[in-house]
Amino acid sequence: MTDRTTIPGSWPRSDRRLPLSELLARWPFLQIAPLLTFLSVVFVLPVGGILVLSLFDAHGALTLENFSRVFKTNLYVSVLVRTIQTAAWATGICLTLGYPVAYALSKANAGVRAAILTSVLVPLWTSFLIRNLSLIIIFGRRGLINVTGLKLSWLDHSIAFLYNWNGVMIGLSSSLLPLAIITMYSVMEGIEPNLEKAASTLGARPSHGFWRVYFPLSLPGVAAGGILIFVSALGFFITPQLLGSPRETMIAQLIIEQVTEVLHWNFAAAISAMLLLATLISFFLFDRVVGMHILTGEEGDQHPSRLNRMLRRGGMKLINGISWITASFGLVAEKLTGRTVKLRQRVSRPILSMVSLAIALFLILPIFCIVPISFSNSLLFGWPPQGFSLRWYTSVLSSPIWVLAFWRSVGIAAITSLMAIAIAIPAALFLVRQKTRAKFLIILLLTIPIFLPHIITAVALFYAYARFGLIGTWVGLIMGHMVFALPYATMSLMAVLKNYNRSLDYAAWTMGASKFKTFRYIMLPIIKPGVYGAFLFAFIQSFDEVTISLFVTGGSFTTLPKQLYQQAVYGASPELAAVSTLLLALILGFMLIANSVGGTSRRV
Amino acid sequence: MNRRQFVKIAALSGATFPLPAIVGRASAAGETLYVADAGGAYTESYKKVIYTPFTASTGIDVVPVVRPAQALAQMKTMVETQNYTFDVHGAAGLDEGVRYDAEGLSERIELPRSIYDDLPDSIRNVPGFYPDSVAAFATVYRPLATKRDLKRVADIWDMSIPGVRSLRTGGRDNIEWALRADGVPAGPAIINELKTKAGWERAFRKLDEIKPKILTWWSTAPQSAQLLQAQEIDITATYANRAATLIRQGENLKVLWNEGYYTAYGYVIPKGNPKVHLVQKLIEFSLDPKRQAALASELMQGSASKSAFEFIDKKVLEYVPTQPDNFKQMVPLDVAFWGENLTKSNELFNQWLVK
Repeated sequence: MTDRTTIPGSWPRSDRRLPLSELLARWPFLQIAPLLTFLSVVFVLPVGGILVLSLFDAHGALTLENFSRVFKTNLYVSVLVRTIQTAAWATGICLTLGYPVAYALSKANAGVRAAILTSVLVPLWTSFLIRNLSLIIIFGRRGLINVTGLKLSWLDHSIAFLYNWNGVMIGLSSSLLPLAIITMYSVMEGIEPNLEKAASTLGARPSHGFWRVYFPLSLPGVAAGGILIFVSALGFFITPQLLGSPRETMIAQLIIEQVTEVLHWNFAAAISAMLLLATLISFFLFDRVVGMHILTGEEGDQHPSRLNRMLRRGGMKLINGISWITASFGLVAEKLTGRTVKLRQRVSRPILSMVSLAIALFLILPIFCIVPISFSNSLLFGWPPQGFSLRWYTSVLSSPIWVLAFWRSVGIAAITSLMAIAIAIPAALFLVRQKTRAKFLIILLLTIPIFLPHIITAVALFYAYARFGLIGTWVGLIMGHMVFALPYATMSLMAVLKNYNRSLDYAAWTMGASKFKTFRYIMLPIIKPGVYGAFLFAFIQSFDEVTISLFVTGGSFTTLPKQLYQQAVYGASPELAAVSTLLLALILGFMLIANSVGGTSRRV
Repeated sequence: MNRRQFVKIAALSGATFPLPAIVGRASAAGETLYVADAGGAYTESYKKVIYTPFTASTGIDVVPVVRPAQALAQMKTMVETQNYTFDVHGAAGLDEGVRYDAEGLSERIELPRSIYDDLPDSIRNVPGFYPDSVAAFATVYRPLATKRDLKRVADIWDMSIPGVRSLRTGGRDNIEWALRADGVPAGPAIINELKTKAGWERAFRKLDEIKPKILTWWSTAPQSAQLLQAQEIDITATYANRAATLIRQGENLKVLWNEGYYTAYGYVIPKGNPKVHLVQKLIEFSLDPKRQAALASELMQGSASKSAFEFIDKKVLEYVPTQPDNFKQMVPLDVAFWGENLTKSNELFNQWLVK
């Protein structure tokens, strides 16, 4: 152990071993160093090498021609603007719909919570290749809703859910709502339930208690969820293409076309640079209007701009106003019925449950459509399923390729997410606690891998890996997946850490606990929902990732998504449905066990 | 989750997905070829007809590898870094073959005279591209929805014919189809029309007419099949073998061969691949007329080898593009022209589309 007799104020000489905690206290920068080092080596350098291509022409001479081409037609700018609009809408919708569900989750009893959580978590495990197909089955022109509605004469003509703006929002929210719900839920889990009771004891009506006490405390979750959804939506292109109209063409689609179809990488790099710039501006506006501090804590900026102060005050007034409006409903109800109704119990609760139920159904129904298809005897993935057969199960379970791919993907996802969490916890602590302007840039950097088309990262990594013999290796694939897992893990951890009360640490230290013990026995149990959430997101990112895997692994090295892609690229067959159903059964079993073993304790 | 829970869960997952007894296949005495083909049902047919018999006769293992639908970027990275994650790109389009050659990414080999002579002239002369099938892109419709038979591409534009329309996204096929609909005969006349700016404008004016009637612009061939099968759309233009597969599954669809185009699919070897001599063996093996015919019968595609035609299963002949009645109604796709105009046509189309 270290020599404890050092004179206060002086630091041990370098030949003595310094406890990690003291090192970190002296150089807090060390907490974020692993994250920055990793991203620099595995993302910034390789991808930067591709992006600088935008400054050169096909013969390697310096030019601005690629950028002037972006502005030559209004195609790229208008698609870029619409991409940002689409992402912003998706963010708004997911947060608005997700908030009541997350709230219901944090207030519900164990049984209801398990049911909602299941319907939120299960869709995450269905490959994006299949999710879009199942949405067509439900919402299509001849989909289940329209056919049923027409048959029962509820509708007199079919509703155009798809191939328009609605279709894109249906597609994006079915993919991104779980992310919104889990991020917000993990923060709400940490909000002390007695605070609302305390407010009530002091005479606040329930709506005041909610809007002025609970809601502000839940904002870090809203902010983290919002940023993650916004950048994820920015990078989506298959869903808008399948379910939207040309008006919802996403910029990623145009970049990918330049990379894979036309091979104009210099131009693709220029469009990507514009996407980066546009996102930077969006982040900057978000910071000015709402304030990144909701997520990151104060930024050492003691003198926020007047606009910012005005907006913050305005925001508080708005919340205040809402709380009075909702409170007045309660007052009116009391006047009308002549007795003190607990409006919250009588009206809010059922409404909350109905909204949550509807959203849960929206998330889970398309997934359950897949089950009957997996027993189909047809060669095609289609509705209604034809015949009955177990052939697709036999073919999946008897194939060593599928089984091997499954285990390999589980292994890769497990290592990826554990390593991502190990890097993300100190990084999130740093980002929430330290006062530095660089935070803003670090968060932007973290999110770039999500919205930059994955193909660019894949191409960049291929060149980098080729130099170090990493192509076709586990290490290479895991490092590639970590690039996408880290942002989700870090952001969701930041959200729970933002509300963590540091006095608890000080209390533990005063009572003699070491820094490690404080972390292990005080902080970790409190931020557990966030750690589970972070692990889940990181795991899924790796478990569903296909572009990097297609590029950097070859030969007989396959992963589950690669194997699914192999089946889907020529045409989806019920075999895909069989794989999804097996995964579904596995996850349901997993949750059932976790719930029965975990009993009534609150766990994700 | 505690450790006990974890053990239970692990046990459960083990029951669903048994751990593989053999981790990885012990490699055969010979060498292994990694073939990046089209995946799914395509791979299954190739395994049966080509890969397995090839291994039996040469001792060379063949392992199908997954590749993106568009593998140009991957080929470029592989060739530039000399790292080959696959040895040959199967099911590459003739148009892609032109691109690979222009970018210097494909390896050239010399096919034996007897095999070369058996390939149609229109598809055998792109250097570095070795065709093994002929595909048709044609109008496909649902007679129950249209109430009558379609006779020409212009009928897609005729709104007195009922049915939900959809077309493939991208410049080339839409410009080709629009000019056909506007009365330009398929083939060289269209290319001629496009020599002038007025010709391009004419195509987009024709597309303006149909734009509001298009439910969705599909982007991949399987997506077109999915839309037809889900009855989301009734009229489109797509690959004939997609329609044929649906018809075999009981869908009520018809193919209008008239004014369609045909093109080839085949092999491209990434430049500098040291296993090029092994790949050549595989290509020659797969161009055997009987094997070509077996593939055509399974996948309902046309054979590249001319003499394969007589061996094709008579039951599927109706849907095979190289069947003379079908073939004579179509024209070859001008891959040279569209190769040069790929960027221009796509950019103009995208601009027009998002307008």
